[in-house]
Parts: sequence; C-alpha cells; structure tokens
Amino acid sequence: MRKTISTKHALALMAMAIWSCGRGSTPGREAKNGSAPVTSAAASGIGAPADGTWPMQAGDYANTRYSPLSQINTSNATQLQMAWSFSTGYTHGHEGAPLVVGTTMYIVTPFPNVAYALDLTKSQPTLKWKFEPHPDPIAIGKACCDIVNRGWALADGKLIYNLLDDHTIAVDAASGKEVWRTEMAKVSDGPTMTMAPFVVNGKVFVGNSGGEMGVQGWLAALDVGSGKELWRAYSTGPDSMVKIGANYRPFYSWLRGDNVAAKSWPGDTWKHGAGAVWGWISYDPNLNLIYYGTSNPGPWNQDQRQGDNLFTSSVLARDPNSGDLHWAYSFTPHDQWDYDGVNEDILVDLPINGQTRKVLVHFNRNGFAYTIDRATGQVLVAQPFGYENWASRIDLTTGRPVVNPSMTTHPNEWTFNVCPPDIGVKDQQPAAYSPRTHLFYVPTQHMCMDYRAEPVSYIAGTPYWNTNVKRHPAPGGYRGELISWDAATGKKVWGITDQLPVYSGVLATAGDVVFYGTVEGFFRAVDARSGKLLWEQKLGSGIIGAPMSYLDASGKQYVAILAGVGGAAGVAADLPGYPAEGGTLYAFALPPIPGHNPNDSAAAAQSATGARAHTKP
Amino acid sequence: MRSTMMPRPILMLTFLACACNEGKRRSAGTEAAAELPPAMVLAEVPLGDIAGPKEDILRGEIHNPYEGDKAAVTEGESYFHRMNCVACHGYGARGGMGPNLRDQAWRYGGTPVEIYKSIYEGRPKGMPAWGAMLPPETIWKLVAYINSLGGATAPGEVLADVEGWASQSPKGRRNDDH
Ligand code: HEC
Repeated sequence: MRKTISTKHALALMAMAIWSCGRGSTPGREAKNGSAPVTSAAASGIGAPADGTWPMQAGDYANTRYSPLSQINTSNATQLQMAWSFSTGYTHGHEGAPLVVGTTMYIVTPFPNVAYALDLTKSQPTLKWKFEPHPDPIAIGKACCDIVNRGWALADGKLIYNLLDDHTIAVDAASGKEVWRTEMAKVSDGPTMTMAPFVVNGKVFVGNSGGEMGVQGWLAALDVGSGKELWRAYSTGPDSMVKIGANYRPFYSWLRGDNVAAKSWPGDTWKHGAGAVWGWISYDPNLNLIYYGTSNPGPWNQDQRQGDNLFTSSVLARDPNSGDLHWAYSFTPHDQWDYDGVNEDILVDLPINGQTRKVLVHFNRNGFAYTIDRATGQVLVAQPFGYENWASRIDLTTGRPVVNPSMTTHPNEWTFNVCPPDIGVKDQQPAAYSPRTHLFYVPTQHMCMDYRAEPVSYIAGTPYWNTNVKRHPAPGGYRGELISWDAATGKKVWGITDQLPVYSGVLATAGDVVFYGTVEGFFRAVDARSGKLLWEQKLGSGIIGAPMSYLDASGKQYVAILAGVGGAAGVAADLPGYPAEGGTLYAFALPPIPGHNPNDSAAAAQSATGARAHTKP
Repeated sequence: MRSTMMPRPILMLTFLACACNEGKRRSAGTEAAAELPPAMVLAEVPLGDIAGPKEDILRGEIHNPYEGDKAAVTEGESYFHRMNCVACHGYGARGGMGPNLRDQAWRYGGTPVEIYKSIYEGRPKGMPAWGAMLPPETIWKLVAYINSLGGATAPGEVLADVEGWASQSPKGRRNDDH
C-alpha cells in the first residue's frame, strides 16, 4: 500500500484528511479511517504538503522545516509586509510553530498552556475558539528553563499537546472542547512536560523534561483516540525498562551488553540519571523507526556517576508500534558539561563518498554536527559546526569523542573556559533543510562557560543539579550565528553573526528564502544560497519560536512566527539588546495584503486628519 | 493607630515569654537550643492583610531567634545548598526557577516570619513545603541567611514594606518572575 501511492498523491490525501477533520462537523472520522497508511506514505517526502498547510511542527516527519511554497522568493522578499498579528495574552518564552490545516491556525501559549484556533478565512483572522486547560501552577517552579511549550500536534481531528504539569491533552480541533487528558507523571516530584508531541499511525509520542530534577527519562506512546498509554520506554535502567530485546543492534560495541543502560552507571544511580526526552521526534516510514534524543545525565557533578551513563545525551531509534529499541548512540558518553542530545534528527538521503545514504543529520549541543546512517547508527561524518574545545574530534572507528583532558570537570572546582557552554553550540531551536540547495540552516550559539558542580543529594521535587555556570562569548565577541551547513562533507558554507545567541527555529522555502528570528526581535529573510540578508522586521519581543509558511483560502503565501522572548535565551537576559517579554503571533506576506486598504481614499483622508475610523476589511 | 488593636492575650503572652528568653539564647550562640517562636503563634501570622478592625502586629513583632548570629547565617547558607534551594533560587539567591530572594520584592512578605512561613508551608507556584523535612531551627537559619543578603524587611518596617517597597526599591525589576 505504502509503496504504490505516489508521494504527490499521498500528500494531497493527507492534506485532505487533516483538512476535513480540522473543519468538519464530525471531526476526525475521515482521518481516523484513512490517515494511517496515507500519512506514512506522505512522510517519505521532504517538506510540508504542497497544498499550503503546515500540519505538524516541522512540516514533515523528516523534520526538514521545508516549505514547498515559492510565491515569496529571493527577488521579492524585500517587499514583505506584516499582514496580521494576534496577541496571545501571555508572556514568557513562546516556542513552537503555528499549525495550519484547512482554514484554521492553531497555537498554544507557554504555561498556562492556553490553545487558540484562528479562522484564516477572514482577511484579518479572528478567534474561532480559546481553550484554557488550567494546569497546576506547581509546574512553574519545576521547569528549569522557563515555562515554555515547544509545540503541538494535529491528528484525528484533535489538537494534542503537553501541559507543563505532566498531562498530555487532546482538544477537539473543531470545537475547542477537551476530549481526553492523561497524567503522565507527578509534577510535584520534579518532572515537567514541554516537548512537542509527535503522531505516527494513530499513536502520539510524548516524553518528559526535567534533566535537572533527577528524573528518569522516558518516551511514551498514547492512543490518539483515547489517550490511553500503550507503552513507555525509559532512557536508563535495565533492558526491560529501556525496551531492549532481540531487535537491538547498535553499531558500536560499547553500546552493547546485558542491561547496558543500567550497568554503565554506579549502583542504581540510573534511577535519577535523567536522559529526559524533551526535544524532537522524527519518523522514517520505510524503516518504520522513530528517532529522538535524550538529555544530559544527572546530576551535573560527574563524580557521582562514573561510567558512560547510557542512554543519556544519546539518539535512540525505536519501533513506533512496540517501542523496541533498534539502535542507540551516545554523542557524549559520560557528559560533564550538560550537552543534552535532544536536538532534532533531520532525515534525508545524501551522497556520501559517492554513495547515496539514508542519514540522520543532528546538530548536537556539544558542537559537533553528526551525519549518521539512520538504519544502523553508524556515524559517517562528525565535524564541529561552531566553536568548541572540549573534544579534539569524534573518532569514527569507535564513535567516541576524544575528550580534551583539561576540560574535565571536578566537584567543587571551577573549570574555566569550556566551549560550548551548557546550552551548547545549538540547543533545541530547530534547523531546516532545503532539498533545492542540499544545505542545512542552523541557528547557533557562540559561547563558552566556567563550570563548577557541587555534590548533590536527591530530594524529590527539588533540582538534582547545584552547578554554578558563568557564560561568556567565544572568541570573536559575538554570541550567535545562523550558519548553512553541508552535511555530506561536514563543512560550513556561510554564516550571519549576531550579538546575542540565535535561538529561533528556521524555515527554508522553495523560493530559496530562509526565515529565522533573533533574540533581539528581528525577523529575517535571507537568500538560501548566498546568505545575503533580503529583509528584516523588528517585532514586539525577541524570537525563539519557529517560522512556518501557509497558503490562505485564496492561495496567497504567508510566513508566520511567534515572538515572545524567554526559554533558554534567558541566558542573555542581562545583556544589551535583550528585549522585553511579549507574546504575539505575526504573519507576513507580499503586497497587496487583504484587509489592508492603502488606496481607500476615505480611509486615507481620515488617517491624514488623525481621526481614522475603523474600516471594515 | 494602636488604639484599634484587638490584643490576643494568650498568643501574645506566649510570644512575649519566648521573646524574653531570646537574649539568653543569643549570648549562647547557636550551640545552645534556641528559644523559637511557638508554632501556634506562627500559625496566626496571616498571608494577606486582616479584614475588619484588627491590626496585624505579629509580622512586626516576631524576630528571627538567630538575628545577628553570624554562625547561623553560615549554617543557613550551607543548608541553602544542601537542600537544593540554590538550584531553584540561583547562586547568591539571584533568581532562576524560583524568585530572587535578595531584592526587596516579596510575593509573600519579606519579614523574617513571612520568609519562615514561605519555607515551612511551601508556596503554590512550585516552592516545596519544607516543614515536614526540616526542623524549625534549620528553617530559621535559612531565614537568617536570606536576611543577610539584604533584601528582607526588618520586623519593625512592616508598614514601609507594605506601602513603599515598590517605589523605594533600588534594585528595579525582578528578573525571575515565574
Ligand atoms: C523546586 C524549586 C524550588 C526549591 C527547591 C526551593 N524553592 Fe523557594 N520558591 C520556589 C518558587 C517557584 C517560589 C515562588 C512560589 C510562588 O510564587 O508561589 C519560591 C518561593 C520562595 C520564597 C518566597 C519568596 C517571596 O517572594 O515571597 C522563599 C523565602 C523561598 N522560596 C525560600 C526557599 C528556601 C530557603 C529553599 C530551600 C530550603 C527553597 N526556597 C527551595 C522554588 C523553589
């Protein structure tokens, strides 16, 4: 079935299914009966659907954040204008990309995780519904790095997302009414949930945050229809908890052995060893594997957990139906700098040494960009994509980093000038890939740190952390850069530096325009090939959300982004240029923009006298 | 002002008895058992203002039994690390997952007894309740440490705290309001 449907046909079918469930009076029925095989086939393609919807956070299962729309291109992007905006009514870090299916846009705010559906049939979109889940405010004090929500999903006529207080929730996409709510963990013990759920074949995958709270990381599969938990796989612990069985075949020998995710820890320290699952998930329908990363090990004092601390700071490949682990790879075994491995895994096929390989491209916190065979877990290319000094290289025969001994950290001692800092050369802010340029567009940090961890005891509901970190710019003085990257060879092509970290997601389009935002608040369009700045617009707050593109009912292309500074960009909060908090969705388009009436003579005359009345769009 | 006060004789007696012993304890340093404000007095300290014609005097009367005790401040700082307060409130209590505890902005009051109660009872937006885990002496030492950071309100300045901190605060905005 999968192989016989053409990609184009499948994309259209998927779009139809999601579209009809998003707006139909009996939401979900069509999608429920028909979506499973169709979405699987569709996802083998790269990029968001051609019909101008944006049905999942990264646009596609492969996590490319590529839009096939091309009305906005390198020659006209200079004319972009703000088309409309929408205040979320909340502050704190606004992460995630708006989703569009049919004629509705969906967004979710940071805690208290309010969801909005906006009607895009109006030239100035109006509110269709607002949903307030009222999560437990205890969660506010348990979230390490602001009270963000990283994204939301649409499936089976439902908007599905995680509440900071450890519930996964499904809301009827048509009516805004709660359908189910499942408690996944006890927030008073420390975990929170911030990641974007990911849906494959009627299952929604969610994981926990709390790498600084002594959690044991997990990924769980819930039934999209009922919210019932189907399986849960831990990142650490005995084989039964990690779901290691006959199918487990990692590439490197140090990742093998009985109960390797328990035995690579002293005693039972794996129980609070973190490996939280707070980043992104991708899916390869042909290999039928989902890929995701795990957080740093806990606590940050490495002395308390000698060993490789598997599977923290790792990428894991699992069967979405059973949860069984197929392979795993730890980017930073025995991490001692907070180099989480949760960043997105972008699934593309690349020519490597003359051979086309099915790879997973991953820009790690630790500063290395990995090109990995996604069937086997073999590292094919690993090169620094920013400034780092903790490892001289990744040894491709063993897959292990060659650690610089002077960057080893010790309890109660300062280790100075470790690069990158805890938030990495890149954090969770997602990169994009264009199949037209074959380049990756990567938001990065250019920073270092001084690090001093203390011995720490586990107390439920409190951090298992106690590490003092002082961050400073890496050589050159700037702190952020958008780069483009060739993952086949492991080489940077161009870069645009910024005074503050670049902490927004990125969008690549078929118009060869790359969109991203800065912490200062500039939303930018750059030429995907040359890196030339084409256009920028200062928004009301800093940008840490992810841009997306959609077509309105008349077929006009828009680019939308949430502005609202916060999240881990808060490490720059005391620096000049760091803006005030906010929370606004902005959409941009080329003129003429519906609802804007610059040539309306009555309106123009009134505005000239300063007494312009509200003109009906 | 005081004329409107409705004394609560029993409570006040208990409290005064404790206050009288304070001097003795202080000269003995932290080694001797401190005379602590009784739990029933602490329970009377309101979180908000008092409705009706009563005056809230307790916040202004209850002193930290370790007031001015440098050894208690040092011990309090050590507990601040050992109990993982430091990871939520930041190094030097400058704020992080929990609020800054060295500026003059207090969500639940900045007098010693109010800080004590925030620690003892916990607070709704993620501040754990430590009353079950830590003895009162330890909590008062934590209060002594927080007090030493300079943002706390002296018991006698309750009114100034309520009426004027916002305009007088030299420290400006809180960088941690979540
Ligand atoms: C899990 C994180 C966490 C831990 C651990 C923690 N706190 Fe808090 N604390 C908070 C948060 C969050 C608040 C704000 C609560 C609210 O507004 O409801 C808070 C509030 C407070 C307040 C009241 C501040 C005000 O503005 O009124 C004090 C005092 C305080 N904490 C002291 C401590 C001490 C002392 C410890 C260690 C014994 C500690 N906290 C441990 C998160 C934490």
